[in-house]
Amino acid sequence: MNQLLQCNTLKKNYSQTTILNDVTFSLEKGEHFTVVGPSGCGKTTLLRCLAGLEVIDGGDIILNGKSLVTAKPEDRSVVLMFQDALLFPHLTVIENVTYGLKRRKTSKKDRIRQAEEMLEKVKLTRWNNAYPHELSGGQKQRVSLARALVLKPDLLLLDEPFSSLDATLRESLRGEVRELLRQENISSLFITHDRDEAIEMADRLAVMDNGEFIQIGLPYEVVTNPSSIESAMIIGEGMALEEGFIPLNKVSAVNENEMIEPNFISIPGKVTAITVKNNQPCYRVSWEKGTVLVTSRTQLHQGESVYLKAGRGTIKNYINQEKHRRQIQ
Amino acid sequence: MNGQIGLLKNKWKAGLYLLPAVMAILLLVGYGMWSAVAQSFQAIDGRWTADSYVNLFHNQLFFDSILLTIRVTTIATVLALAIGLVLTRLLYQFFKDSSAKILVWIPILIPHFVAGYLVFLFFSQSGLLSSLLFQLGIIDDRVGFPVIVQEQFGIGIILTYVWKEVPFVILMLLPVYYEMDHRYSEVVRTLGGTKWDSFKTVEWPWLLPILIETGVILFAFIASAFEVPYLLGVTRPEMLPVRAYEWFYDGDWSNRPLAFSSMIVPGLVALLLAISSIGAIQKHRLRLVKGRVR
Repeated sequence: MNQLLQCNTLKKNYSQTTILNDVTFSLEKGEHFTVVGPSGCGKTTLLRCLAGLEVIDGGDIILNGKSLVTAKPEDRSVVLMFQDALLFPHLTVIENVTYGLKRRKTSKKDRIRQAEEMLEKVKLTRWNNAYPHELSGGQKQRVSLARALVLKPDLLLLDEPFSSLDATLRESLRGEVRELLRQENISSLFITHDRDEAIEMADRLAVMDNGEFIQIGLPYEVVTNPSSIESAMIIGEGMALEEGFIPLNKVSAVNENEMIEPNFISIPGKVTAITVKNNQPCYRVSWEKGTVLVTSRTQLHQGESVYLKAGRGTIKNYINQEKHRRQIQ
Repeated sequence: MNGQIGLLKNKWKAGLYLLPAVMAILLLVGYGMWSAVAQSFQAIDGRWTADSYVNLFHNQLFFDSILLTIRVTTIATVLALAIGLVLTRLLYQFFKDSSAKILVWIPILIPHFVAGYLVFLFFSQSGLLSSLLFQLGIIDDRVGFPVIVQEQFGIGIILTYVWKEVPFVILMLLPVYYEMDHRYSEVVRTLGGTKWDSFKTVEWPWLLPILIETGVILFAFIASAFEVPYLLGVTRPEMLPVRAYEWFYDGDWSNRPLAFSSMIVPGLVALLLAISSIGAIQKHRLRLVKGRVR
């Protein structure tokens, strides 16, 4: 694969506050890169800088070998999809989808053809002449996606585009969007605070906290081997402890009266909900630093005090544990 | 059903609360208007006749006045709207600060005749500006200063109205900019549109109805206001309100019906203009919110 995007030590400050602190990463052509992080960590600002909606205070953005630092938003082959669909309410679906093509002086015949093809791909063929208020939330986001993809940008930036939709719709749209991006061979940078969404959408995943990328890697690697406690708390599927990370499949819940062997660690918690996963009862247990969904050999009840138990040997040290310790000290 | 009854009750209640204000308007303004219409159809001997309207449309003074009125009013309205729009577009963030808003309020608080007098003081040939230019040696003589007030093109009148009405336009447009979703402008930019495209697609559709409404208000006001053209206009041709005033206070009482009919005709035109523009604006607003107008 060829390199599409290179961001070098990006910096962005709002008055005295640092929003992006030396963010460095690269993106290959056709790659789907996801950034996950808590609200306010700088994800949206990063996208806005890449789209040209914010002026960066330092560093460089290179797309296809050319620096974008002074390029206007309209001169970048980058399209940003927002959290809300933001369709122009006074334009029909087809007018919305052809909007960008019209700005690029594509002939009317061509832009209608391209828009119709794209609407077919997002399964909205019969809605050409509808107005946005006549569409459901999911349909609006599909039109928004068609409006972005029809321009065939080198890079599509997606700013939590499914966050306003219900869970079922969100899940089905995720798959569709990913498939469509592959079909169109368009690289994407997707940001979200939703862990599952991040994992599903990513070829590669970056964990962001306080304006910095604290870990970049393949989704499975990042989820199972968080590099620091911060990363573990944001993305890790398991329990983030000071001494290391325990993958979730190594943790189980036991009744508080049960004996725990010396080579196991036990952490107190409380059953907050009972559910079924893979035909097995599962228990959502809240503990000091959050909640986990675990199994148990014995039957537990809602509200019951329990211990979360894991073998000491299953604790994985953080890669950046030294750095983390230094920070704590 | 219960909901509908509740809605009806609320409407009645709202109507009842509005009644005192509506009655005051109907009695004071309504009576005045009815009286003007009635007198425009009455001859000096009390006969009912439409002669004043026939005479009006054969009267050269009326045509000269109406041409001047339309020209001055149109120029002042368009200039006030354009300057107001540009200033609002450039400075709406600045106007969020309440002390900055006071700057806009100041010209609104000054009565029109005072504004007219200030324009006279500043821009007449013996005014402050000509004195200043003379003192600075830029002009040799005060007579060399161009005639801006009390001349036949109504420049002084236009200047006064523009100065007075630009703040009004700004105050009408500011809420539009504050309520506008500026993310749409960013959508336009990332889809390859320029700042101008963004203005046309995002801002203009929301601004247009307010500009039309404000324009109709300004046009009707400037066309029918008396003090400024009386102070800054010339004897012939004069703007329509001044002409009507002169017919009203003329020694010849037979001209009185002309005074009324000369104000009723443009009044009716303004009313029709307002009604048709409100209809068009409602359709436009509906299109913005719901897309299709059914």
